[in-house]
Amino acid sequence: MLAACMLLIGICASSRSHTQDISMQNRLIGKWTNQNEAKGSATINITSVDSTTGQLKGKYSPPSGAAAGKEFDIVGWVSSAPSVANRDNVIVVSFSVSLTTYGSIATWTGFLKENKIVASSSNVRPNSGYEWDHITATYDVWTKNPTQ
Amino acid sequence: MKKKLVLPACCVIVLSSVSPSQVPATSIQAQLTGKWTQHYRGMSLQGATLNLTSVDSVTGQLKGKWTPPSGAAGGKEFEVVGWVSSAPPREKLDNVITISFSVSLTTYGSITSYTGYFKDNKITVSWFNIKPNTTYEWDHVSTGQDIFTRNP
Repeated sequence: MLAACMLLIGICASSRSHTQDISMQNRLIGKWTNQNEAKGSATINITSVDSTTGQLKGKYSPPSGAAAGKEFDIVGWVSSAPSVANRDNVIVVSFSVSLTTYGSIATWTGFLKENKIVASSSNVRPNSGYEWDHITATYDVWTKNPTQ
Repeated sequence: MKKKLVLPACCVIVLSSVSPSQVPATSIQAQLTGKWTQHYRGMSLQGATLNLTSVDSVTGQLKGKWTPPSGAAGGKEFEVVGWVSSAPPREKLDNVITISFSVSLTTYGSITSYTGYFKDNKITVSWFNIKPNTTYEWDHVSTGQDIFTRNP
């Protein structure tokens, strides 16, 4: 009886964590649109999330400029921790893209909550008028595109 | 005699025009791969060790390992992924090699990303750290600046 209970608990615990992994992947994989209107609507397509390491991969499409219409590789991470009572619990996400057209690199670091990715972003450019002017920062909200 | 000299001279010109674009790529890899030590700006805390193990010469994708100095994750190694890029130097502008990398600290469920540039044998970065559980919604993201110096 004890062995049966242990086995059942083990199966339940195992399947719950597996379901959480699948759920996280399902929630993230797909196309997302940047709602920052000032820069236009960039899109990212998260194509894979490694269920063991949390490493994500995908493509980034810039909204305008010389690189518009091109696709660039993105790499990054997804992670989380067990929810804690009376805390704000989120899935943490970070991804970056090398915009080889310009030699610049952009990074987004934030969280997935309520089906949105809210992220602080940094952009570093190789040529600028002043040494202090290479890195710029802002924040963006990404919403998932409806599945077609 | 003149004709005999023209061909070797042309070869030298071709070789000269190829090598400048190849040398920087190799140079960037040589300058970045290896161990670096993190220095917190405005704090005396001991920094982490960043070991950049590879930089892809075609895509600029970098890989490496991150070793935190202390805490529950102290001494453990975590994977690093990111990018290195550049553009031709422009006159009267400040020209740098751009770099970004991130690490998932699975011990805590947190992720830190570093975005900045390589210049004068130092990596200067702006960073964001994101935590999964906080008291307030506005408290998930911390930010700051660090400098990484190459280990002897």
